[in-house]
Amino acid sequence: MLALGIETSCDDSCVAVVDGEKKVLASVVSSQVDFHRQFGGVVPEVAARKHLEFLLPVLDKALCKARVDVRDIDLVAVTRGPGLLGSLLMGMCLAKVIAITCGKPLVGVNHLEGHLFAVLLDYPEVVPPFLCLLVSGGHTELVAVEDWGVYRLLGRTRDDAAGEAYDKVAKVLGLGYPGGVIIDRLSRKGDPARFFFRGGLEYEDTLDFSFSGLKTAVIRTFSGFSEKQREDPQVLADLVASFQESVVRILIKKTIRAMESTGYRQVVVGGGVAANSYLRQKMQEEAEKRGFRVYFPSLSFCTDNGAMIAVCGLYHFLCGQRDSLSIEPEPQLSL
Amino acid sequence: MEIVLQRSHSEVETRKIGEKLVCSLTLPALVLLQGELGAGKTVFVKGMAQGLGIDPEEVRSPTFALIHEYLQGRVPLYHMDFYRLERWEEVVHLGFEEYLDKEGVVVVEWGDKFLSFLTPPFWVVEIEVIAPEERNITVKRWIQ
Repeated sequence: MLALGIETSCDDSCVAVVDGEKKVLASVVSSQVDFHRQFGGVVPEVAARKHLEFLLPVLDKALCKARVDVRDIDLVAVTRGPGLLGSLLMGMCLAKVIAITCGKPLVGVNHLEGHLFAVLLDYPEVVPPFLCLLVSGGHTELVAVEDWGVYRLLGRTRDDAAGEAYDKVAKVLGLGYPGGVIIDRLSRKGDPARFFFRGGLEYEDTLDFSFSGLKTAVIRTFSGFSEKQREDPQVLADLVASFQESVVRILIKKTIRAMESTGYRQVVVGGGVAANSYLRQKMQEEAEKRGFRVYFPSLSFCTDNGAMIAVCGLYHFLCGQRDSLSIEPEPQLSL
Repeated sequence: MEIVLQRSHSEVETRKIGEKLVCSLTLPALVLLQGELGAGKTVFVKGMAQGLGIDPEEVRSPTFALIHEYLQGRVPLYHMDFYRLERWEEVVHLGFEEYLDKEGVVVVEWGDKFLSFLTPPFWVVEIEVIAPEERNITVKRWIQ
């Protein structure tokens, strides 16, 4: 059994081939970061045009690397949403063309569910129930995965996503894009205790998040700096390290609270922010202290990728899902 | 052009001003929000949602998704964000103009970015940071 996974919900064109044992034969991602860097973020129309340019070479490379012919594929899984409409359309178009020309079944996949399934690519033995902390540029959610396909939303951000706060802080501080990676790297040289930023809803009895106030507090602190302080790399490193400390502290605090309320013993972290080294380290420490198991997908499966779409599509295919060629992207799809 | 200047001393007051504005609108309405990062644009939209009978906690930053639709209230609220958009063509590409024809309220964060492409009537709300908790909120009504 071979599943082709196509993912184009945001800025990366991703194609992967995964077999029936959830083994990744190839996973290719066209990092478009270079194009977006000059704009300080993802520019939607640029993203759609770049998909058009990259998607076919990425598909070729994935098939070549997996050493399979497109006719040997058993199903085509494609991200249906949520995401940017223009970008989603590109992936869906390619998936439909393959489905028609090669006579293969088409399976539309929810991008967020794909992130939940990503853990299986490294840890195929994981079985629900588990808690999932889904944290990226567009999402910050705590989801109880009672079973595959049975999800209960426990909490989510009420304003900005954690990754969005990273990107916006990085932009104001003039650090560039992608904000998450840059702040993570710069923070290693900084003192996380130099500044204290209180997180929104941090001490409140809710599993919801709020990162807008934290973002504002960091920007305000920066605006209050003297010219000399702004040019001091150590001050800047301390500031972003303190910001990161707050984000990670809040994410972990809410995760622990959700673990306590569900009684689950395992937590899966997914989404682009799951690649953050400080979050990985702190969450691991906390898990060891409290005796629960934490799973982080390997770095390339935290960020958007086709393999998670393939493995999620494979699951639904085996459950009987077949989508018609008339399915449309759903930019606002939720879990 | 009519101009009303108000002072907000808290997020709660900012929400109240948003709520009051939305109740004075005739449909369809376009509201453009202007203000730096952290000024409280999303907070203002939460207030507008409240005024339309939509749960304000449902309102989140649309920076990533570009458009959030809230259809559970008395009147549909379409919440957009031009933060990541660089060119007017991208706004058109989003289907922005189709939203303006709907019997609802369209509110756009960073909406002043493409002001020259828009035809009145619309409202421009400028949120200016005065102090950590204080904002000057200027509501301007642009008429044809």
